[in-house]
Amino acid sequence: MFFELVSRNSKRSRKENGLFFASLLISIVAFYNILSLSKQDVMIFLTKLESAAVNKLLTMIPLFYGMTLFILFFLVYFASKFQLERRKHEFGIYLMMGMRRSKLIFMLLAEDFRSSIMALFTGLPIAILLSEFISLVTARLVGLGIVGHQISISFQAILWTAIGFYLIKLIAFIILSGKIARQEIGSLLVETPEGAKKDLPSIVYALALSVGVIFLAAAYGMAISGLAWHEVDKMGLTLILGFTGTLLLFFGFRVIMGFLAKRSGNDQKLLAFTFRQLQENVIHRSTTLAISSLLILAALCCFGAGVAIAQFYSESEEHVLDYTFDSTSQDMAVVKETLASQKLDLLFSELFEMRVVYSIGRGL
Amino acid sequence: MNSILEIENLCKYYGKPENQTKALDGVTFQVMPGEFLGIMGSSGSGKSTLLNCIATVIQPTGGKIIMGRREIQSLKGSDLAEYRGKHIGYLFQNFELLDNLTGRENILLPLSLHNIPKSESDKRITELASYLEITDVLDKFPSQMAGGQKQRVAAARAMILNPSIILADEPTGALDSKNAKLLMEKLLGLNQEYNATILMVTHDSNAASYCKRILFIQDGVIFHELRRNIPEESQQAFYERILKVMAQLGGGTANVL
Repeated sequence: MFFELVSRNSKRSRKENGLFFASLLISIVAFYNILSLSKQDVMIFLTKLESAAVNKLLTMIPLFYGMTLFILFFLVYFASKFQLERRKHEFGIYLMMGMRRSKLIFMLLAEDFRSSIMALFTGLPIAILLSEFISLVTARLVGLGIVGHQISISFQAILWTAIGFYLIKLIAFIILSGKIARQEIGSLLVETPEGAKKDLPSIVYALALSVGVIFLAAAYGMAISGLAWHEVDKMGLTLILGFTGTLLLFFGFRVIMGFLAKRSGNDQKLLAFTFRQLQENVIHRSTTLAISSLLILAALCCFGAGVAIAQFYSESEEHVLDYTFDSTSQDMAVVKETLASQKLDLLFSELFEMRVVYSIGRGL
Repeated sequence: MNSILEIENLCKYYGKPENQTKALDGVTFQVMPGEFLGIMGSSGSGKSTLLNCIATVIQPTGGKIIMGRREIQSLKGSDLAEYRGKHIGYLFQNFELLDNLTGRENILLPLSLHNIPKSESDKRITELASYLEITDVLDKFPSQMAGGQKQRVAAARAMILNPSIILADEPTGALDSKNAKLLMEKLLGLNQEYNATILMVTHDSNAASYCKRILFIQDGVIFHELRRNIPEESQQAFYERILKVMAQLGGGTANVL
């Protein structure tokens, strides 16, 4: 009966929050493809030719994976928070029927675990197939002739995908379940709108807004001028100022919204209503807004860094591949003539002679 | 005979002292076993607050609630869960059935939460379902049931563990008159035939006329009590007495222009 309830609740959550479930599937597919990059045919081929460049890319993968997990954590946290808020009333009913709080937490954990299992069992096969497809396509694009293909599954990638995915879901769940466990049944059963907290005097918000703007200006100034990049302490200060400034800015923004709402006047009632709606549903959730804003900034920074790194490497290393021509005449001029006759001489920036010596007997 | 429930000087205050709302301001009464007690009052009188304090939905500010010689404010953990599941059965105004469980599963849920064996569960559910005329909706989901059927399924769920007392918060509030009458007849039957103790909060005088005793609450205090003279007084006569008291609650002739 209990597990039947877990199964039904889990299924209902997946149906009602299809978009969130789809996001989780996409992230599982993405994680697997990134983590299994080193197992792809093209990467194996490139490692033999350009080991230094490929190794640089492969060492960046854990960092990239960690950053993506960090950002995905917030998606999981806020989506789960929204889902649990919607089900508060249901939890109150369970407690009223005599369910212990520990059992309620266990039930929610079981539902979450079940959903995660479904996501992994759905996402991983798709990820493996996609990885194979990408491997074959890129091999063709690079010019490798495909004689045959063997499916390669990276068990390490599967393991790390599952671990990372479960870890962020578990951390989000622990934080959220702690909040529910502390609430009285009365507050679970009664619908209170989020953000319906006591209003502080306007001067507090105005002060928060000013301080937020100053902090943000200082943080951006330090980062853009380069001062933040000199030492770790300065970078730490920049981050703290930026983070605090963003929180205070969004917190203090309600004074502006309140002013605009009052100014709308008697003849523009719909405008006043719109401002009030924005005030209640958006501005009063200032912490959520601030964190979302910071995540967008982090994503843009990562994108910018990626573009910059790609440009740097494409400028500094002109050549992509080395070709070896084996000539019986042992004369470089003959090789050059042959290339020119086929109109391929302009494709090569430099031709240099390599002499290879063979030794018979006990070799190296 | 010992009372099943004792309320002593129960208080519930909201807000700060300078701007306090006294939802309950020293309520004292007892409920005897097998009694069908009604709590009546206008909106904001404190009757739902009283019921919620007894059901441990909210914590009272002061006073005592003693059920079966145990003070329920001192209960914690598994004792509190057992109290909520086994000693009280709660009937909500809006039924509060779980949408993704069938009628049978909704009724069986409290049994599974308290590890009652299946054989015993099946026997009880068959008996209750037959009495409450819900046998044909047991395998339907709440979305497929009518309001009256949902409330009777909720009543079965409240009764399934044989609680010491059933707390009903405006059980006819969301029902039409025909289903309201059917539900009240069934509750009266449970009280008379199964000796169930029922404490019902209502503002509906019709529903209240099924009770044996009614307490009237206004501004957080009990200000009047009516007892039905069974068997001399008919339900109709009791209903008319209730209406007179309700008119007084509204200010009597003082508010008539």
